[in-house]
Amino acid sequence: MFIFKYALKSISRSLGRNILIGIIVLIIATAACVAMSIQQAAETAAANTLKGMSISANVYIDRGYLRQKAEETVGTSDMNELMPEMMSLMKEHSLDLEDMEEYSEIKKADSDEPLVQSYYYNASISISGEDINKYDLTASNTEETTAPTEAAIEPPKVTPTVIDPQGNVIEAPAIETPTMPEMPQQEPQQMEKPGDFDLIGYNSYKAMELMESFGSDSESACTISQGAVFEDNTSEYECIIEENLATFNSLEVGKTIKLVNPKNEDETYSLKVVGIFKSSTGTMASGSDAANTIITSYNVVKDIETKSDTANNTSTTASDSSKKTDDASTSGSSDESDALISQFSGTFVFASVDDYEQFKDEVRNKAINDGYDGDMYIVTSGDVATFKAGLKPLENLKSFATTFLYLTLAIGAVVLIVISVISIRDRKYEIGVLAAMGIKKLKLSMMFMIEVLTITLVAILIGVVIGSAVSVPVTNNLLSAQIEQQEEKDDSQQTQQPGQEPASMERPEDGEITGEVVYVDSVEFSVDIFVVLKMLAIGIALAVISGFTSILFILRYDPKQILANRD
Amino acid sequence: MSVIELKNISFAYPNNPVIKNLDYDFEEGKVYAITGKSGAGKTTLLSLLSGIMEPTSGYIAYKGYPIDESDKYVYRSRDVGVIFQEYNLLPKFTVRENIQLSFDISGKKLKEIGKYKNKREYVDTLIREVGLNPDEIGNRRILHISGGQQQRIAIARALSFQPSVILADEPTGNLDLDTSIDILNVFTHLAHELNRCVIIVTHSPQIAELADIRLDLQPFSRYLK
Repeated sequence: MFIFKYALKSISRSLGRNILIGIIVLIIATAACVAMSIQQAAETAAANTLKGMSISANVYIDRGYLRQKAEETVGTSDMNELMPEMMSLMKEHSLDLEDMEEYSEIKKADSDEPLVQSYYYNASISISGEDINKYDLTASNTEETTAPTEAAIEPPKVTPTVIDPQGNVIEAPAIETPTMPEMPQQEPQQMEKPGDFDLIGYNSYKAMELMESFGSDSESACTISQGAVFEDNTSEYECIIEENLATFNSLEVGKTIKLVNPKNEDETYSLKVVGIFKSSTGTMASGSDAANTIITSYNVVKDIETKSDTANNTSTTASDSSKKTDDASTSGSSDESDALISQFSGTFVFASVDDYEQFKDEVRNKAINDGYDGDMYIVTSGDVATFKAGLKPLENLKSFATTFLYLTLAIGAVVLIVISVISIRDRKYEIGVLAAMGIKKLKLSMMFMIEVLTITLVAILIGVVIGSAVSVPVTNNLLSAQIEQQEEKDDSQQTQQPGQEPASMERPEDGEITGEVVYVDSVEFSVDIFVVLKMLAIGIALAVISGFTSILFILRYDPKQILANRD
Repeated sequence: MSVIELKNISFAYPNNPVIKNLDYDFEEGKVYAITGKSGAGKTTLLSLLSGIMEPTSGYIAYKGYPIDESDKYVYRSRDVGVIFQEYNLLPKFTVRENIQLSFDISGKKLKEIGKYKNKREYVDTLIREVGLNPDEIGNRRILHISGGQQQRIAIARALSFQPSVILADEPTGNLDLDTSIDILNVFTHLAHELNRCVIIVTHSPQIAELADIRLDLQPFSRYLK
């Protein structure tokens, strides 16, 4: 035990030198603490956000795959000739309710719980009005020339919404960027909608919350201003309309509107207006005008589709055509059916990112099992993409902090070793005396090790305190600089000339960023017990490295020679 | 009874032989004075006896057992107390700390030494035995005491763990004759009353005369006279 006592006494007797060593270690410790707290903050921010976040995701068919398949069948690369075949393929393979139900039965890899927390869907029909007129939206309709790209063909765009595990919408997306050139918002055939209105039927109000950001708070894109929403799963012909359309056509709650098949004037459908909604953006998630969107129940849309199919098939002689063929030939083909065809769109909700990742694998496996290419379907989640984009500055900072940490530790280790060597040389005489008095070299080495360890640990503890005090403001300052850089980068990407290829043709892993990216711009705390433990481990490692350097010198010393060369 | 035996030891610095085939038995209860001209190898012999250096040939036995590599630390810390010519005290430590450190290194328990309440009381007794006042000097650092006081503290330190053998290299070099005689009386007391073996290297004829046995070391000597 006396070696502890004398080691501590020795520290106090050479205070000046030890304070100097302590200051150096303190600087290293503070720098390392800040670097580690940045790392920790990045991890914590990611983990915390992901933990409480439900993920909504969509499944699309890869347009590149469709084109390749169509080229193989048709034998040409002319897009105009390929389009009917591509449409046919898409109809065949697009996600439908049956697929959704099948996916919803998949269990989690590690338990019997279903992988999909919930799923929502809608079906839309392009229809015209018989006793109502299309609201003229010249001011806000800017997307008519959006060209399809090689990216995925997306059914009516569903803007993902962050919802909590209880299913409550906690963050409404800002649906304000439907005109980004690289984002195909609509299927090609939707460019030429035959009707004036989109009649969209949702399976539930929850689906409307999730897919169209319906809600009652100020952040919701759509709010009910008059009346109420029809009941979930109702088969009653009820609908809600946008207030501009209502005003334009002098409609109010309780009145009935009559819709007509644009290709068959004899085919009409009457829906009762039960509510009027207000759209803060003027646009629906699909990119179509809110004012010319009529929302009803999914059952109603499917009922209209069935009735229309019956009405038109009994009136035509093309009874030998399969339904798929009819479906596939809705756009522009001369022998097409005049029946109304609905477009299906669905969104899956997952309780965690892990579930979402497993789902991606399942979709891939299913495609392979069904005899298709594994990359045929693309699973995207704007939530994850947006979330990851929001973390980008912090991630950049983390990467910088990691490099800085390694550099600091390397410099720290070298400085400590040099100090130890100098210190041991200065204390040669003391070592000689103690050795002459019979102290074993092992004990002598331990004595020096305890000294270094004590100084290092005290300096590190002070460093952690200082580091934890300064790390939050330092991190936030560095983060704001990073965000500024990132925003400049985003701006420069957004101002690319139309038609110019984006810098990277690589498809984003989780799909396109939807809505506004909210950067993580501050961290609340960053030094926790893990950082402290890591710092202590680093401190011990540094002390051991420098201590062993001392020991190597001590073992080489011969007391007689030291004492003989005292001066 | 022999406590230390030199068995045909030789020692040479590189290209400089100092001691050649030396045999001698040192006994308990006696004060030895080793004299000799400069360069005769007196300090070298003391370093060999203390275990700090090892003979190039032959061996040294303590109580009949050769001192080998494994137990030389025990020998050095428990059995032999060395008073160096240059004192070799730790300058940044206090008088008390220097003495207590030596005792602590030996690993001996206080009750093995005598009936003392605590180490401090024992250390203060040692300081008094070498003619100093512990209250006055005990907490002073070595840097802040005189050469004569340092020499006495070096003696007190060597005695702290009550070794069987006390080796002293010019222990009275910086002391006046009266004090030197006082110190020698301490050594004589240790040898005669407590049966220790005291070996003193000295230039002083007066000190040498007070010893029980005077040994004159000649260069390359085979025997001590």
